[in-house]
Amino acid sequence: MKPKNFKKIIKDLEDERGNSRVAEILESDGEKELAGFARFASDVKKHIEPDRSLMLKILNDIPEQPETMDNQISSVPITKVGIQLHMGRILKFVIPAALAILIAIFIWQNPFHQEKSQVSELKDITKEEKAADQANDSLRTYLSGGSKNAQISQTFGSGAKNSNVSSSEAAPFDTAAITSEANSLNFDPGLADFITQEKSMSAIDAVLTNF
Amino acid sequence: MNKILITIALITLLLVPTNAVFADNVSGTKDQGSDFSKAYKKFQDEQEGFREAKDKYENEKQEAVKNQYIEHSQKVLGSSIDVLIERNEQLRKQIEGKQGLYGDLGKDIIGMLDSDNQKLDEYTVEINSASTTQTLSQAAAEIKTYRTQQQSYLRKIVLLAHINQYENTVIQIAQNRSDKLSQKITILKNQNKDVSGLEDLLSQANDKINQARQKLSEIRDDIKTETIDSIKLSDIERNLSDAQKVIKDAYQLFKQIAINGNELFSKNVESINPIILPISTSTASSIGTSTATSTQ
Repeated sequence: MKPKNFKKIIKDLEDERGNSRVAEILESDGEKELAGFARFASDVKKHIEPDRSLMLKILNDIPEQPETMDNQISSVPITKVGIQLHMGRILKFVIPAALAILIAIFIWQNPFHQEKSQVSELKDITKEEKAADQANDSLRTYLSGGSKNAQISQTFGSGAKNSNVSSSEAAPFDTAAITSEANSLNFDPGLADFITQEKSMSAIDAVLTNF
Repeated sequence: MNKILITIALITLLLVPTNAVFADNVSGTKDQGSDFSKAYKKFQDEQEGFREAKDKYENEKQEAVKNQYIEHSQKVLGSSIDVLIERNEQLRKQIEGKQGLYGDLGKDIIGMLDSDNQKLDEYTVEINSASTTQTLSQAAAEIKTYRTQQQSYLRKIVLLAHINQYENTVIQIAQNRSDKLSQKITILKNQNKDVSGLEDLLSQANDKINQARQKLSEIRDDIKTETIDSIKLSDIERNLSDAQKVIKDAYQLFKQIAINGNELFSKNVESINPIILPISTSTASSIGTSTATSTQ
């Protein structure tokens, strides 16, 4: 192995991500067994590293007091570590329980209930309006019939004076139409203009006559 | 609701200007077109200069003054012709803008105006080439004769067209209104309402319509037979205004008939109300609204 490569290996070993590169250097120098060992070591390191990091975190969280690990863990309030340790229980019991409570609240306090009742109310109003329209039509029919009755009574000379008859034909006198027509009773304004203009011609006639 | 309607009708009666007469339109002094007004103003100015020159010439009888007199004579006659031409243009615009009023007569009148303008152009040439007072006096007399014949005829056609239009629109609409009111009164009468007051008012209104017709007929005959000079024109204007007033009187009676008739109708509706009562509360209120709406 070249001294230059040794230096690279040492430098890569200091670097945490350099294991795979060490294996490549060894393999390139023909040291296959060492290269295989380096890869194995790299794999082992990959597997161990997360656990090692976790352990380091746990150990860092434990206060420096003469207590056992179990007591220490149970006495610590719910922290990240606590959540991680109780994650299994949380997944099995707490989340389903929370979902069950939410569903129960949803069923108990249905937010669509109010809307549903409003729709129902609207339906009732529509029904009432239809009924009113029908009643109105009935009234009109009745009144129309009454008018016919009145005409029949009039024709045959019976006591029509005492009948409560009316007529949809007997609509009120159209005052608006009369007023509208009354506003258009003037001659076309062009006539007034023409007469005014022609009158002014008398001055010309006077000049022509007395020339 | 009917009380409200009656109140509205009364207020409308008070607000509508019923005494607007034909003379109001005339005295309205609408803009008769800037070209005509300009021409007429120029004529008035020239007329003043002509009078002064004429007086001076008649007093002094000198050759130098005579030339000024001739010059002013040419100017005043020229400006007179300009006024006549602009008046024809005004009339042409009015006829072209109101084909419905003049109908087939419109084409005849426009043809007449074109012929008139051509004749007036010929007079202009004659006046401009005149070098003596005699020639100018002769030209003025020719124009005067021509105007008396031609302009009178033109005035007749225009006036008759307006009278025909008034009869076919306003008088006819008034007659239709009278017929409609008569039908309404008959309906009320069939319901044994006391309509004698309404019938009396309608009879008065019909008399007014007939009076207006008669008046227009007399004016028409007058226009056909008489020469339409300025004095006659004033007479015709006054008579047309009278006919218009008579029709307005008829409409006052129509309004009164409508108000009185609606009062009778509202009494009729009140007698129906008990029929509505047996219907349930919610539906009864809806019917009340609908009935009120329908009466409007």
